[in-house]
Amino acid sequence: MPASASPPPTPPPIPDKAGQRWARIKAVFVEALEVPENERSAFVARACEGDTTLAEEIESLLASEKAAASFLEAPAAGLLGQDAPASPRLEPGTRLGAYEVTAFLSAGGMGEVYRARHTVLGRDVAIKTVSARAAEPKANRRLVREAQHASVLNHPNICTIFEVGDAEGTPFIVMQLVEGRSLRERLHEGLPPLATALRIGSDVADALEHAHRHGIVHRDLKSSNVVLDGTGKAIVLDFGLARRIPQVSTDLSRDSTLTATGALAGTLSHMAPEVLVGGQADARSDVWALGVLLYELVTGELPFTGRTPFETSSAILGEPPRRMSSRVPLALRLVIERCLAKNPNERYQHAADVRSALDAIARRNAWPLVGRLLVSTRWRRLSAWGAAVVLVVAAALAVPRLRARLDSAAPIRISTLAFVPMETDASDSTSLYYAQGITEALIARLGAIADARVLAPASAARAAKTATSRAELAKRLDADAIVEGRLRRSPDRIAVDVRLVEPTRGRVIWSDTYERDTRQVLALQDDIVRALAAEVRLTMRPGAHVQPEPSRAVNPDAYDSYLRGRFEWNKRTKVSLERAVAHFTRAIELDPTYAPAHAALADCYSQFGTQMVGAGSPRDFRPRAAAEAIRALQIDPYSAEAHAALAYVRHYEWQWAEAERGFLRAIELNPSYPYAHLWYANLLMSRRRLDEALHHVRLAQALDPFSLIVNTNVGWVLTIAGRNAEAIAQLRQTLALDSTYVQAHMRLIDPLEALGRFDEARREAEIVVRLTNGSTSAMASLAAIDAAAGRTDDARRELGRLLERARTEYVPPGAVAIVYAKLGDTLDQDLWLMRAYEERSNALAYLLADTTRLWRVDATVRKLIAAVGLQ
Amino acid sequence: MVASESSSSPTPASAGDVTELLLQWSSGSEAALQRLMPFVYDECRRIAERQMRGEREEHTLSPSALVNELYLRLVDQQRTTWSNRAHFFGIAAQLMRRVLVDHARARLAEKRLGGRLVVSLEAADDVATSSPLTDLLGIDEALQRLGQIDPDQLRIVELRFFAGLTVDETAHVLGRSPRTVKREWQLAKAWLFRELSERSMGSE
Repeated sequence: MPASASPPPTPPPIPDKAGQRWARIKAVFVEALEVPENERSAFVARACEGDTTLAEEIESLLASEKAAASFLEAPAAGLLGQDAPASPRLEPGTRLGAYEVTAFLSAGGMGEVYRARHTVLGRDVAIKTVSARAAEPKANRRLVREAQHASVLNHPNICTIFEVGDAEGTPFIVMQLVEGRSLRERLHEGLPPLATALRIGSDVADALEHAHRHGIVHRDLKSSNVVLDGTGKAIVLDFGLARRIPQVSTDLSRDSTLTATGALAGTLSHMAPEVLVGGQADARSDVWALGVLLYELVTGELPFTGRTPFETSSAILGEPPRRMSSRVPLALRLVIERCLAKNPNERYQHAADVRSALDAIARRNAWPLVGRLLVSTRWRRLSAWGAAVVLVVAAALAVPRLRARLDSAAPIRISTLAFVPMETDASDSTSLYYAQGITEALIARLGAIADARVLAPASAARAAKTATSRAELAKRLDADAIVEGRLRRSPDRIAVDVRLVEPTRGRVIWSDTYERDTRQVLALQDDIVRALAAEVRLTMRPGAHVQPEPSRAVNPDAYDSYLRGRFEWNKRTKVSLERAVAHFTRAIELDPTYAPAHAALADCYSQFGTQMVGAGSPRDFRPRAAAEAIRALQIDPYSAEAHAALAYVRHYEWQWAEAERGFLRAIELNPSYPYAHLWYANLLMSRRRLDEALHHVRLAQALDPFSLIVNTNVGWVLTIAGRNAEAIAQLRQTLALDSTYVQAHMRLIDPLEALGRFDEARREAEIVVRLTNGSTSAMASLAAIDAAAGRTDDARRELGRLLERARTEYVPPGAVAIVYAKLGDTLDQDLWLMRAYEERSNALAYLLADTTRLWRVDATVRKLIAAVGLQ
Repeated sequence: MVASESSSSPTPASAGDVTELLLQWSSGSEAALQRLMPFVYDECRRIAERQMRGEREEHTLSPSALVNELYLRLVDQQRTTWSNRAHFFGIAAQLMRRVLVDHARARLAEKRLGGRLVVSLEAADDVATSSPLTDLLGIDEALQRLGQIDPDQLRIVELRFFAGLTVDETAHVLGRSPRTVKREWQLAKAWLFRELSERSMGSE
């Protein structure tokens, strides 16, 4: 057992005589080295002031120093490595089973590769042996097993393994002979044309997918492991380090592979971050390696490099890949970046998807007229008058059919427009998604350019369900006019019949039909928006963003997935959020340049990291949310949703000024986007600007009166403002809309407790526990209310159970801190607040808002407030 | 910040645990150090064995990155600070030394006993005279003596020779200037070299 290491720095002991002598030797020695050699002796003599023994000592050390120039310079491990006997090379003619060695080909890490021939069949093969140096019974057995696993792989782009043999205890592997040069060598000579690079990438991805389907991970994919044969076909070698994907699901656990064999197998340059820190390699780390390969194919270099392995591994863990030239198509860059996402959950989960993406790019490049990748948006500062002119003209040009005026009454001034859910003739789910999606898109677009209040669809939908007449509906929604629509779909075409109805007498002011190719659905929306804006004489907002002509096509499958995602997202439950993520992710895979999908994905991730949903630490989700929001902005800088999504993240990263700017920008770009106001209200609450917070949350409520989250947040702001009775009323109203809405029940606890109505508060907490099946957030609330009510023993017991769960599940630290606060355990409160701080939990943003009500304010809490930048 | 310890298993198995122990150790807990040792030792041994087999491909971890690998694998990157790393490297270097010396002793014993390795006539001679194996043992012994005179230099030699860090990396870990480290290193080498030369002049 090793001796104990020296403890953290302690003050140096007072030197004894020997120590003093050594100090002197050192001082003179070091100085002497600065002096030119021929003057050294003299210098030493002088410095020793007559002490000849000292001088001799130093001289001998100096002499030794000269002789010891290369002594110990090579690390010890290398020294011992030299000791092992070199493995003898096999001579041509050597027999290995039924094969005869014909030539030596190369030496690899674990052994050598020879060319051989089957003595009976005459087939040429490659044989890989294990060198004696690496020979170790366990390692051999493992190698044989892995080769056996890999031998099931039968794929044109994978080097086939024929058999595994044994020669006097040393195993050898017989594989397909592939003659050609490795990709690495070829890249040294120059970059392939884009089409070739895409094809090679696609082939390798296909090979990986095949292996993964058979439960085999390559683990060491790199450009030197891919060979291009005579016809230019890519063949992946060396599944020799491959291993079976473990049955247990691999999440991003950091467990050291102590019990696993073969420590850090694999090459650093192509190693995924999670593998680098000792995690399990799985299909996704292969996807990473594929990303590195693609990067090499288009740039000729590695994405992560450094002067030392340490620098390289730091880059892999923490730096983005080196910028790719802008000659690389944007879509391909996005694919590569996605393969190189640090978190494996953010990468393509299947090699097959990478392949589809690459193939799609290849097709698009082949047909430049179909689906341009870049969004061309032009910002124009238009005066209201000028805009109207442009609009009318553009509308006249763009509308393909004659407009039918059904009522020629004087034009109405409309300031509030409500969209009711569009009908479809078909009942298939895709049509439903399209109908909802187009409605939402119209609302968003119109909200962005028009000075009208446009109501959110979910609210309109609710009202529409129960309203008995249009008039009543309009009254409920406080709308001047209603837009109704009908969607008709065929495989290639989309048609939308739009009607504008004046509700009091039900007269149709205007109607028209728009029809386009499915790929042009965005342009279709543009058409409708322009016509509506013109028709109702909605005032253009100064400086509004206008697109007079359609600017892009979207991949129909991507749009389809996007719509499905929005459908799920609107439900706002954890399960539906997860589904939404899957849909948006798919949409992005199919069309990485569709900005709204990125913004929507960002919102999903943000929701996952909240204390309420409690799906996991914000640390895991927030960076993803930020990344997606930023990507959305890169594609479309005028997207209100993207600005709001990013501002949301910034808020919880305590970047107050930037967050505020982002929200204001989002509101400026689209004043009818309710979430911009909702989340801005949250920010304002953090800063204890309660009047403004209330103003914005009420605005959100006006825009989306039936939204559960919006209504709940109104209750929340009221609670923070100390208006408990109103808060309770608001929250009960929210529950009248949907009694199973968890967040409203949770928010009820605080105002009830504040008014001393502990039993009612506890009932709410119990409901939440029931509804969430005992989520950790829920259990924390229960413990908190028990503590507040004075049932200390119960609270401690529940807390104990919660802490037990914390060992295997995620428990929001802010929630635990609250429990301790109520129990009066300031020290533990602080500890968990510190954890929340480390994790950058959302709860910390509201520290200031909650000080009077929740926390024991001590020095630590004050420090935290300062650290978070609140005051 | 030290987390309250609930009952944990005797052998830590995750990066979080190692980090936790490191943090506790840097707060002064000797017990934490003891718990850390066997864990890190095993890892060292595993890595050292791989290093000794020698990988001949480019881009593979050079010996000088050995402890980096250890560090990356064992420690939760997010939670440690600079000073923890210095401590860690210190332990790791010591352990590497232990591992390699033990290995050298074992191999030497094998050779003497004609173990499972093929012993050629030349190899048999090696056993008697100097070989990398005996060199290492001699160095280790001399180093122990150096440590009694100058513990700092002992650390530097461990970091440079056994853990394979460069002068810059060593300086970084110890928080001293590369210039100082270089000078100390030169003196340490000179001293050790002299010790070994004198010894080898005598009997083996």
